[in-house]
This record gives sequence, C-alpha cells and structure tokens, in this order.
Amino acid sequence: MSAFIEIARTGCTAIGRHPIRSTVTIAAVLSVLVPYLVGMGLAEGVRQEALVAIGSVDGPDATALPDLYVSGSRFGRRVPIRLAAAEQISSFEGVVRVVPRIVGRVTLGAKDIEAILVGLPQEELAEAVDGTKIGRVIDGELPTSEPGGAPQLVLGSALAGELGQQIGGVIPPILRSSRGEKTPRIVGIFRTDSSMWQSRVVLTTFETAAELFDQQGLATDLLVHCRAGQPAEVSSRIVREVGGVGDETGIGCEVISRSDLESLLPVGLGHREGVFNLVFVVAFAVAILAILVISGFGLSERRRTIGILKATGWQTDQVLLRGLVEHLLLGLIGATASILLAFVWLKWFNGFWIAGVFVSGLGTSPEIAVPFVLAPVPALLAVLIACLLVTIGSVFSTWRAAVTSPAEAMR
Amino acid sequence: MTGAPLATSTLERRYRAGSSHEIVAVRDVSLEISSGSFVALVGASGSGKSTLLALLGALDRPTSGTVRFGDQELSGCSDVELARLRRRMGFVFQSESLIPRLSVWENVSYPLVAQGVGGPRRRQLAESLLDRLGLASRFGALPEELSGGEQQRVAVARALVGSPEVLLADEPTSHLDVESAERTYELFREVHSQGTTVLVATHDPALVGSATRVVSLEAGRVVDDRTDA
Repeated sequence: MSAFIEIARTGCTAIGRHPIRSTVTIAAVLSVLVPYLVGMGLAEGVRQEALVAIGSVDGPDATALPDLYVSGSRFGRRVPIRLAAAEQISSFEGVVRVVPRIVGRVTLGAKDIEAILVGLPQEELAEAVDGTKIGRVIDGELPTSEPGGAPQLVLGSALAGELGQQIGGVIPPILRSSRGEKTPRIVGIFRTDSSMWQSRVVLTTFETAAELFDQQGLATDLLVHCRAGQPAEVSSRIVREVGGVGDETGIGCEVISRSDLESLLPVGLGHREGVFNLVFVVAFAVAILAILVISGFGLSERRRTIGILKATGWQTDQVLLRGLVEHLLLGLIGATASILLAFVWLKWFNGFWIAGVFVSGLGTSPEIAVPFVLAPVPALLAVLIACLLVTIGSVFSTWRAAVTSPAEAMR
Repeated sequence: MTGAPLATSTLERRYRAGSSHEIVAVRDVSLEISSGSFVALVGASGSGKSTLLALLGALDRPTSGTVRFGDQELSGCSDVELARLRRRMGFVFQSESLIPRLSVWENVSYPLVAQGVGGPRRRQLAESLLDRLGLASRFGALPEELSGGEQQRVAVARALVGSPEVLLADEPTSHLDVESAERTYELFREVHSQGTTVLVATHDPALVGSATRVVSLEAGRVVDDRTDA
C-alpha cells in the first residue's frame, strides 16, 4: 500500500516536472470541454425555461398559465380561430377564463429584423401588471389601445438594442392595413435580465395586433384556464362542440394541453442540441488526435525514463500506475478548469457565440441574460471525457515502453 | 553482506541489425561468479562486455542459454520476479542514465519509491550516500547542472541506495577525471569489502587492478578468465 501511495505521489509531481506538456494537454481538454459544457448548460437552461413557460415545472407564475391552447385547424395545420369560439368555451363547465391571443411574425427597421409580435387583451396586460411577471420585467409602461391613436408597443431588450430604440421612440410602419399606415410608438422595454423569451418579442394589445395584421375577428389561439383536474374533460368538449364553429369555412379546432407541449418540447430543443452534439463529436475526434500528438512530445525521453525505472527495480504495473495517476490528474485538472471556465462563459459572458446556436435571434453577443443550468450529469461526463482523452493518448505509449526490456528501452 | 552467486551457462545473445544482418553479441558464455567477488570484464569495444553485463543484471533476456542468480533462473522469471531481482542488484550505466527532470537526491532515491520507502527516509538515505561521494552540495541540482563526473557519481549513488547484493557497472570511469575516477575506485573497493559482489566492465587498468578476477572477452566469447587473488 505504501508503495502504491509513493508511486501515486510521483505521478502527481510528474505534472509539474513537464510544464509544457501538461499545459498543452490541459489546453486541448479545455478547447473541447468548455464549449461542450457551455452548450449543454444553455440547452438545459433553455429547456428549464421552456418548461417553466408552459407550466410543466413550478415557476413564479405557474398557476397563471393556461391549461389548454385552442387554435383552428385546416387540412391538419394550425390556423387562426374565430373569436366567437372564446365565448362558447367560456360557458363550459370547468373553464375559469379564456384569453384570445395573437402571435405573428413582423419585420422591423432598415435591417429587416424579424421579431414575434404578441397581442393580448388590455385587461390581461393590466392584470399582469398588478400580479406580476410582466410588470416586474418592463421598464416604461404597458401598451393601451386608443381609438385612432398610434399603436403602442413594448419591445424585447435585444430587439430594442438592435433597432437602436428607446422608450418614446417610433418605428417606421411595420404593416400597412386596410385602415392605412400606422407608425407604432414604443412605450416600454423588457429589462435585460428578464426571460430570454422576451429577447425578440413585441408586446401589444390584442386590438393593436389585430389591426397591424389586418385580421379582425380572429385570434392565433385561445388560452383556456381550467379548474384543477378538469382540463381533460374541457379539452374533449372543445373538440366535440367547438369544432363546428365557423364550419362554413371548413375550419375545425385543435387543442393542445400542457402535457402535449411537454412532449413536443424535446423535439424542438433536441434538434438544436443534436446539431451542437454533432459539432462536438467532430471536436472530440480532433482533440483525440491532438492529444495523441501531444503525448508524442518527449516520447524518447519518456521511454528512456521508463527504461531507467525498470532497470532500478520498478515493475511494469508500477510504471503504468505512475503514468495513469499523472494523466488522470491532468484530466481532472482539465475537467475542473473546464467547468469553472464554462460557468464564467455562461455567467459573465452570457454564453457568448454559443448562445446563438440554441436561441433563435440571439447574435454572437447576447444582450439578455441567457438561461443556463450546469447540471451534474454533463459535468461528470466532462470529467469522464477529460480523463479518457488524456489517458488514451498516453497509456498506450507508456505501456509499450514499460513492457520492453530495460536495455532495449534505454538504447 | 553476502549475496547470491551469479552463473551463466552457454549464454548467447543475438541482435538483428537491419533486415538480414544478425550480430552475435555474446556467444557460449559459461561463468560462475561467487558471491563477494570483484570481477572485471575486459575487452575491446564491441567485445560484448555491456551485453553480458545487461544479461547478468536482468536488464535483457538471452537468445539462448541461462543466467542464474542464486536459485533463480532469470529467463523463467515473471516481470514482477525480475523487478524484485533487479532490486537486489545495483546497475551503473555507461552514460546519461539520470532522469533529467529529477533533482540529484530524487534520482538517487527513486528506486526506493517502488519499494514503498517514504519521502523523508529516501531523502535521508540519498543525503548520506551523496555526502560519501562528495556531492552533498549538489543535493537539489538537476542532472543538466552537473559535470559528467558528477553525473556518474550520482548514478553510482543510485546503484548503491538499495544496498544491493551485486553491483554491476558498465565502464563507470570512462567519463571521469582522475580525481573522480579515484573516488569511484575507492567506493567500489569499500562496497566490495562489505561483501557486495562487484562486476565491472572496464578498460581502466586501475579499476582492473582492484578486481580479484579478470574475465577477458573477444567477439562475445570468453577468451581468458584469470583469478589474481
């Protein structure tokens, strides 16, 4: 046992005795693991945030989130639903309230920056201000609908930054409706530390959104809040009874529950994560090659050293143990440094460059606080990968030298 | 101290040089070296002295024939058994046998690491040996900071640190100045006087003069075996 400890110690000190080799090896590990950990941290953060957004896990406003999302359906595709359906659904047993919503894509500014415009009834926005989520995250005020007045908008912070806009500013006409051109005015901006979902969002009243898109009497979807335990029953009834609303147009209805969203979520996120993982696999392969090359640094010196060790009474397994301890420790140092650097990258550099892979619309340098979760599994995986990377590169050459006769190794 | 005797029987070692050429470095060598003897292996360069010494020191395996150390036949030993045998021997190489990134005392004491000797004890043993060899002031130096003679004395200290039963030295004074060589002879005589078997491959007449037996090699064969005392 004491020989084991003494040999392990020499393995540890060997790291400091080969500073260039150790530094280059750790640098190779960092170059692979830091982007990987940042990517995994962002993927998990986005997933968590998405789950909070759909109320799948407890978030600050989980109880305020709808249980069902009802839209129109035509030829198997989601289409806007008539507002008349909201009144019908409101009368169903178990329904607390129904909120119509308009969600659409708009293009803003001279650079044609794409954004998502969300329109909600004014009373819903006002309720949110009293309660909570939106009120806490907006600088300025909430939009209102004044007949004949300019459309009032709240912009996501990243969007405002890209457009160079501030509260009180105006945006060139974003849409021309049948009622003429409208020049919207900015009345509020989401704070930079707010949810990333607000990064390229334009929030306005339902009426303004309907006017901007020139779609009167329609909503993108209806957000249905139900009493506890009744969403399934309400959902069935909506499909059965509301499907016929507006049937002269042939439009049916589609109901998506929170559990449906939960099952859809991994598909969307998995795509981006998959692309990132593919890139990582390539990086991993390159790193193995790099570390194999690095392990060749001073190979003749190492071979000679091993020959001397064996000539002076070291056993093959002791030589291997010394090499293994040295490289496992290098791997651990590399993994620990990677985790710390990944945290710094996420926390202080906002996932610079990589965040754009996971969140649409974010540039290389996000202006919002990107969500991240450095979960234990990727961290442990990083340790495993680092140790594997480093030991694979060196153990073979050490073993080859260790099984050679000392006279041959020293020749 | 009395160690186990060394013996070889019809020992042969061949090397392949290139694709077709083969060199017979040692051929048909049968020797018996009793414990406590001081043997000098002499011969011209390429006569097979170093190869024979490596075979006797379990650093290489013979192509045919046997080497015995006490009751153990070396070619039948496992890797672990060979390592344990090597711990009972001390080997001084011809040149450049120190580990470049270890300090002098660490080089001297490194063989003891594999035996589980703790750092403070290793340091103490190294200090004592280096003091005897006049290298106390070079205790923490790196090999590259030493002269050739100093490096060779460090190698001798390393060979002696495990109190070996047999000391094998391959031309230990070939790179030394007169004074350093003199110290080495003295040390070898002292080690021998304590019962350690000493085998030295050398050209140095002074060192040959210290030996009790001189074995002459030519083209890998023993051509003369003379016991003076």
